[in-house]
Amino acid sequence: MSIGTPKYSAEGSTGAEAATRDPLTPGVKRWQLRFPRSLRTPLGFVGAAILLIWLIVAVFAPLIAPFDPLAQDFPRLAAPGSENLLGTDTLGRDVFSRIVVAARTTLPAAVFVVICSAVLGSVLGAIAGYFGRAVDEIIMRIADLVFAFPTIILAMVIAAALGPGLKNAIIAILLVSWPSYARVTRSLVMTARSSEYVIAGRLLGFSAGRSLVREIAPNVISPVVVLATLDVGSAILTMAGLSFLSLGAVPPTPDWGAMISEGVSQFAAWWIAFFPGLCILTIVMAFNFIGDSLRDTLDPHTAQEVGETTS
Amino acid sequence: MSMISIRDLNLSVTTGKETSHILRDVSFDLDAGRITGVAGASGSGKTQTGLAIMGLSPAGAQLSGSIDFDGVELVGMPAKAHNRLRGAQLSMVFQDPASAFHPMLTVGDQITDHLRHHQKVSKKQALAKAVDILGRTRVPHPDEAVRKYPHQFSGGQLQRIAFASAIICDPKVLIADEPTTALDVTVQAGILRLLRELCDDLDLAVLLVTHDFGVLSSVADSIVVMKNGVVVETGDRETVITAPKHEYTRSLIESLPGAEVAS
Amino acid sequence: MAEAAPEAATTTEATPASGTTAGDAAQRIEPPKLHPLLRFILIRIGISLLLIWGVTIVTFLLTNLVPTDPVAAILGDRAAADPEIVAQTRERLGLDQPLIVQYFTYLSNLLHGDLGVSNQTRTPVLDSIGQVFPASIELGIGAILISVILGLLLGLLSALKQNTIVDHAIRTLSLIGISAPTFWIATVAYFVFFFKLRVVPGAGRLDPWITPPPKVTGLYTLDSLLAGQMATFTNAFGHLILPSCVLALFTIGLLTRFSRSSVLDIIKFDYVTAAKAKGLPTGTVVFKYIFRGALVPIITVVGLAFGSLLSGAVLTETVFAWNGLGQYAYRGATTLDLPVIMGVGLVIGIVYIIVNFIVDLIYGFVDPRVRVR
Repeated sequence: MSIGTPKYSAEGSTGAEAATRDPLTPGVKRWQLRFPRSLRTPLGFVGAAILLIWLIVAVFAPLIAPFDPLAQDFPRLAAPGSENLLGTDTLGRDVFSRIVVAARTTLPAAVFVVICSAVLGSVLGAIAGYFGRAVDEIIMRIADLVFAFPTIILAMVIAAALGPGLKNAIIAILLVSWPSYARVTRSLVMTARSSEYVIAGRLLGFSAGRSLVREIAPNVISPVVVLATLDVGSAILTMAGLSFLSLGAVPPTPDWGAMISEGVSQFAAWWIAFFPGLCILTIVMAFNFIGDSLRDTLDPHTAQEVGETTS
Repeated sequence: MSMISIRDLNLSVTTGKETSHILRDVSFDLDAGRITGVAGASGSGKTQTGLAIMGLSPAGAQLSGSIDFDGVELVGMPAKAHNRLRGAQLSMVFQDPASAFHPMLTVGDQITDHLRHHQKVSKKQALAKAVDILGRTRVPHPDEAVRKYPHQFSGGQLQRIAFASAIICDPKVLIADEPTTALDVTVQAGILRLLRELCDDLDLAVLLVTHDFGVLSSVADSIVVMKNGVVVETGDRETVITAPKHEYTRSLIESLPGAEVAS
Repeated sequence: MAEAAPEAATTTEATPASGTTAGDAAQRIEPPKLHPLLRFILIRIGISLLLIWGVTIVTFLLTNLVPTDPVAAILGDRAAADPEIVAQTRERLGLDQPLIVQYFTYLSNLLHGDLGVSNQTRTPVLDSIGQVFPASIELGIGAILISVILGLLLGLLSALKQNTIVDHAIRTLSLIGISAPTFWIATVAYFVFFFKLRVVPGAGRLDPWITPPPKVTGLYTLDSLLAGQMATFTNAFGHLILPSCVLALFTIGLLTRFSRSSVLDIIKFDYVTAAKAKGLPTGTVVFKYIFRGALVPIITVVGLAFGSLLSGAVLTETVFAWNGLGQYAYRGATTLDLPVIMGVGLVIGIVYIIVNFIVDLIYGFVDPRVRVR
């Protein structure tokens, strides 16, 4: 019964309860996510709604876009109006159509790269945490090295070395984003490895590997999912940054980052840069809102592992 | 005339839609120069009683009833007025001395900042008094101790420093919340002896909160037994221990190791 | 990178071990126990040096992974068709040597300050970086000051008012802040505040008709003050405001979120209750006890925040025509000028490591548990 904690109401009785919980109870999913519940928070709901709209836009892009995104059919730099809803760009292409079609590349690419890096990072982290010693050192030192660069800088360097293009941008982001998953998974695996239920399992003759998969995996998945949700946002930002530096999708493919880059030099035609940026903002915001709400359902310790700073 | 008399104290906390009643009609007195021990299990409300006196009940707590401190009503007292009493007239010692001190501030700073605030003395005077008080609570090398940081002390020494901090403004009431629980068994007796000494010398009204009935039976003058937010028994130490009226008290006494404690 | 990974691994494997050997070696020089702070500093220096070494390996491997033949890039199409010239060039550039030899040549060049020559302008990369670097430092300092002050205050306010409307508003705003692409915010802000409202001066570091102050540090604001040119200072300062605010936006969000959670952690500690129990005024409890405790973890995040500032600079300087490292990198990237990109990557990587080293040192000095035995 500690008097400093803010949770006075129960006077620490929950702590006593937790302490007496049977350590042999298998598969206690301490960090289980409750998706429907977390989306019921106002932020989570707004995020989910925005994301849903974007998914619809991406899926039905060809039906929504009024014009061919590549066709240079219109007067250049026309202001938003009745024909061109969001105006036209320097080559006389319809900005609205380009924005809508660009969602089809950005969204899947970002989700794809995050899934890949989550899987890669978690597997490497689990290997590091499970085997320890030299394997751990090698993997985590490489991770440290990646962390020694600010994300976009390393992505820029890799993308530049590989050459411009969406595929190379994806590889670059994959290479810079796996270490955060490795760190989280590693620390969770190491904690779980020495936890009572895994030790109990080993005493019962189960291999540690079996325990790892059966008992630890459920506990690792939730934090990784939260991290990944927040990471989709940063992947979209990084991808947009690379396109802004002309290291992303190759023109004339419609791309939000590249469109902003084009708009920077066109101050009179503010719409060229403004609307693609708004798209990036809303979609990243949606993922951050959802990720943040999901993290609130994690227990405080794991939430700390996932970190407040997923940049 | 009691220093503090608690009458029909009720405390409930509302979180969301649920309201939990933490204290129900609690009544007992604290007298100057006497140690009143409150015993009870976790969740019995004994700590909350202490915090209610200090005016540090959790956010969203509703207090009703009366806590009379030397003629002043503490329940419903404006926060600012209560804050003037805290540290000056009402002081408190916490369970874990290692976490009750800020790791980045020197001991001297932490045991004098309230003295300087309440009594407006200079930094130099405050430190001189700190050295004096640390000597009184038998912290080794008090003049060096004031310049040190908490991590440089053992738990027992830190608890002595915590007592020094509590009495530096010459308070009338001292609330000691499980002051020996986090300590090594070998230093517990020393801390309890110090508590007894300070109580006698400074004529303090002490509220000693503990779950350890053995501690109470060795140092308390009177005993209050609480269970689930209700006072089940009060009385002098002798009476409570030799002739417990309530079944719960009896079970606490029976769980003590050996009969010699009760003698 | 698939091939690169194991190679980088074997070379960096020894990082922590070597870190401790650095400490051990120092201990041997000074047989009585090393002062903990000194030991701490030596270990941090060791780790930083190893990281910088690792950074050189990364940039080297990336330079050598380029699918396009660097010889062709240098010679141009016509000369590249002639196998003899190609062979000669390869030999001249040392490309016929084994990778490890090439790496040591690269490393020794780096140590002599040779970061290569820009493919576009033919000027040495290090010279160009030296010229543009102070501009970015000036912008970075402005942005970090704004974000630290605002981020900490907002985070503190949010935590102290937990679950109130103020808290929700700050949390939502900070989430939006970290969701916006900085280069877009820059464009919009420039359009609104300069193009439409005319409340800030235009692009660049100074108005075109003002001559830069005599160079001492390369920071226009500081140099103009040193030279006593108040008009120049006012102008340079005016030009600095909008870019540093824009750049700070992301890190304000980051620091707000982190300091909020950090303060919430601290509030749970007994020493906060103890401070309240001493009857100290709220301001003292908040700033002397809560804030000081929360500051330690926050300091480490400031290093991270600096990293995102550097990234942000690369993307925003172009918008403001701020002639710094970012604009240099942008030009390098858009023209695929590999030596420039690698040079900037290397320099930013090293700066980032040094900043985090300094942050670690501050941490050591602030926390008595590291400083005092």
